[in-house]
Amino acid sequence: MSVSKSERILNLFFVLINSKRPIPRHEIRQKVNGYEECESETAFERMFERDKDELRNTGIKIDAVPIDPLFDDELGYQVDSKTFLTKTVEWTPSERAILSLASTTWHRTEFENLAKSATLKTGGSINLKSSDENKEIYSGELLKFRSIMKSLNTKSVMDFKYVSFDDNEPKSRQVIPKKLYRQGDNWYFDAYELISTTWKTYQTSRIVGEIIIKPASAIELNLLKKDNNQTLPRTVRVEINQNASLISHITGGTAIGERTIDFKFFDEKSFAKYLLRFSSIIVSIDNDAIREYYKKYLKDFVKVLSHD
Amino acid sequence: MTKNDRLSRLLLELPWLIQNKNTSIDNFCAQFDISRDEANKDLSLLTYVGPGRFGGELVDIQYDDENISVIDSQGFDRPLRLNNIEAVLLLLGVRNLSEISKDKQEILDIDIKLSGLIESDIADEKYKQEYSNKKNRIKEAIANRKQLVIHYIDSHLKLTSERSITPIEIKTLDTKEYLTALDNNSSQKRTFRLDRIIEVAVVPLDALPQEITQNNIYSEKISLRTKSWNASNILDLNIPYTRSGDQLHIEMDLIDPEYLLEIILRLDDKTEIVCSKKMKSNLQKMLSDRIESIL
Repeated sequence: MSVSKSERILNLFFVLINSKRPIPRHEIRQKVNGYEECESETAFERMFERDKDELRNTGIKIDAVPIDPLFDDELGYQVDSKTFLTKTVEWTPSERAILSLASTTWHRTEFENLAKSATLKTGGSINLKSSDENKEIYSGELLKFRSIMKSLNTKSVMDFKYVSFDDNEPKSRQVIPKKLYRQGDNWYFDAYELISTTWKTYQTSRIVGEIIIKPASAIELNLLKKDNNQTLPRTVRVEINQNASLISHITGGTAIGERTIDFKFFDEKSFAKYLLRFSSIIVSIDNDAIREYYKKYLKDFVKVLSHD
Repeated sequence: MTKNDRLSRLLLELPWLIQNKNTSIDNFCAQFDISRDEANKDLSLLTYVGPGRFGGELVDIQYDDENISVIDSQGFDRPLRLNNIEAVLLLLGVRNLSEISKDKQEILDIDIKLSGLIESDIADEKYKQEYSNKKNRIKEAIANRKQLVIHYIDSHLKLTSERSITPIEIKTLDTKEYLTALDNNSSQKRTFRLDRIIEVAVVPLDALPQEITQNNIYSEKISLRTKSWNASNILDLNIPYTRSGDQLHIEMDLIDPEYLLEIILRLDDKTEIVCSKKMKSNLQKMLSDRIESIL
């Protein structure tokens, strides 16, 4: 009886996850039930490539690595270790119940199916009724995130007002977002700004008011394609009067020496403003522009305090 | 359903069945939104796959009209990892729940686990492990009514010398955990942010009774008015504030001018500061010293 495509791909997956070493192609052809039907080596290779793509589409990445670390002439295949949930993340039954309930937040939205699939991966149930089934009430925060994710998924333009670190008033921004992530307590997204035609990082909590989603024009999408190189952050070294390795989880950055931290930054003015909160421990800043802005901001606050 | 959808579903079904032992076929159908017929086809296909072609090398699932049990998963016993967008969706859902839930602690535990699954440039497994060990030692001391000796980074980001405390409880506010404890030297109740506790040692001394000494400490009423978008800059300080339109108002009794300065520097230079002249001149002096000393 011939083996179905799903069956063959699952067999490939099981052969790979049950091997402690990368498996060469010829061995895969022998071991995986379904590949024996290939009439030629070329037919097998084509089928194998298609199967790897199918697995990749489901989130399972197959890596090709040299079988012998000293010689890279023969490649073997293995499932990327990041495919599975790490052993350190295990959900208790009560956590699963909370996750199931949390996923109902996305009922009747464009993210319903993704949220369901995520819940099933945690072992949770998806047939729970939403706590507020008949109402679609989202907090302002959640609405904001929904807009960002909607725009991420559809490559649309987000139109919103934003207060950057060096602004005192919100300014209008039109961006196409690329990636949403969290660092510490804050959420950020990297996005292409259409007016300045540069890549920038935005903190979600600094968005003021509503986000309007608009389809991107062909010109805007082309612009995005052409300018796909995100600006790389620069580094500034800051000396402090405390043990850097003990506090870098609070300040951000990477502890380099006993009393120095390297920070990544994009914009001198904004970064100088960020550093103000650590001014009680800062001894030196090895970037002239940042240091000058930093001093200027401190002087501005001296002025604020001179008002009665 | 396309074939690829089916493959995705099959890859979800096996680990889900392992986590939901002896589930009923009706529940299985409901979870995966499939008919009984489709469920039977999926379960049947799953028993034909494995790393080999023979009995012991194939997935073994026993099922009848009522129940389903996985006997042998052929090594596929851990769920697939959540991708970035899936983890973000669950995390946002969990945060939405935290606004209505009373059990903030459990929600924060999930938040921490999910955050670890989201791409982040500063994700630091070692730090997370240390944090978890530290928290466990504190919980143990609370449960066994023991004293602790801690090193702490204070609000001025300075590492304090050893402090002897009697831990009382761990509380969660927003995304941060705080330890309420009795300072054994001053007999005052203090709150410590858990991520600012650097070292924790349990000492074999019994917890002190929680009789709080009322010291006459001088404090001053402070009022700060600023724009509401500055709220994100002070979240981690756990200070009370109110919002009205685009205005944010902080009102508090404050003892420490250095702490007040840290708050002000997180706001903007349009902030309206109401405090005594003495306090203002203190703050100006501190700022001038910082401007002078920077290299």
